[in-house]
Amino acid sequence: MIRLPDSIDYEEVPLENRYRTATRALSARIGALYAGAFEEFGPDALDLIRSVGEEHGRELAEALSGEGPPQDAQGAALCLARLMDLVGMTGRVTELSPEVARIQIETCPYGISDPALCEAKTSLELAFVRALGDSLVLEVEKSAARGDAVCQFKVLRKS
Amino acid sequence: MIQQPDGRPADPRPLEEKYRTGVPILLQQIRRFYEGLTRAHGARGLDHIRRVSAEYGRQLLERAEKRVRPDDAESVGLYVVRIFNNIDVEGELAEFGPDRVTVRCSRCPYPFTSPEICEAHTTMERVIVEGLGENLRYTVERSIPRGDDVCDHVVERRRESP
Repeated sequence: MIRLPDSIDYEEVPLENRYRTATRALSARIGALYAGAFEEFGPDALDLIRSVGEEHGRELAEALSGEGPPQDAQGAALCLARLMDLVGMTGRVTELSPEVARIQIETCPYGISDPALCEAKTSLELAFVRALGDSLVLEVEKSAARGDAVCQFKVLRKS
Repeated sequence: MIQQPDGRPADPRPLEEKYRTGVPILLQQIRRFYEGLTRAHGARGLDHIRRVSAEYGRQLLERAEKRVRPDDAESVGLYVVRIFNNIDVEGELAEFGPDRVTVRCSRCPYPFTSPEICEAHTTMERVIVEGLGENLRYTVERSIPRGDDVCDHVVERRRESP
């Protein structure tokens, strides 16, 4: 926080509002950066979004997996849901079992409407789940960018 | 929020902890993309960052106009503080007067290491400040990426010509 002298009249914004405003604004800025780069640089931009997302996803998996990497789809889906929640996404976990779990996201905070761009952006989440365990796989079952009503992610434990 | 099937939140941690973990994830995502973009495309990459930042600044400007007194360095300077506080920038108000406000940041939240990327990114703040008053000017006088120990974001009233 920027410290202000007491003499200055400044209306403090509640933490909840700052959190909501920051996540919305930053996600929208990322979406605009990606969309603009795709327009300007074409497929090169998609490659860049993928490589940056994959590296970041792997690092986040290490940082957010807590006491130890999850052993099953349920644990991995909850880790992924926490990551999505942290960056301001809204939705729900609709299915949760050791073999398969599903997460639905209601609105894309990045405002991405191009399927190719969405696929490149999702490389972060794919790398995140892959880094949680060799037997864990993430699939995008539904995508608002592809015309579905929601985005749906499925986490699977391969036997 | 993301709920579990039984209605419990997927992340039950306190709001403060989530804020301090979640916002830096998005900030790092931006910095990583900027670095990749400028590595791959050089000046064209920086132009893209400037363009998107300027566009975003113009969008914020509409909201800012309802909150600040136009052409008023103090009021506009406090709006910059508000923007910085949303993303938890650490620092202090080093100067506060009708002609000049300095917001001093002790740590870059992204954190940027390239002065060129910092300059391109802060196009947003420049568009907002200079859009809120034709006599106002925004500069980053000291910058951690340029080697200074702090960043000084200055909102200043332009001196009128004699």
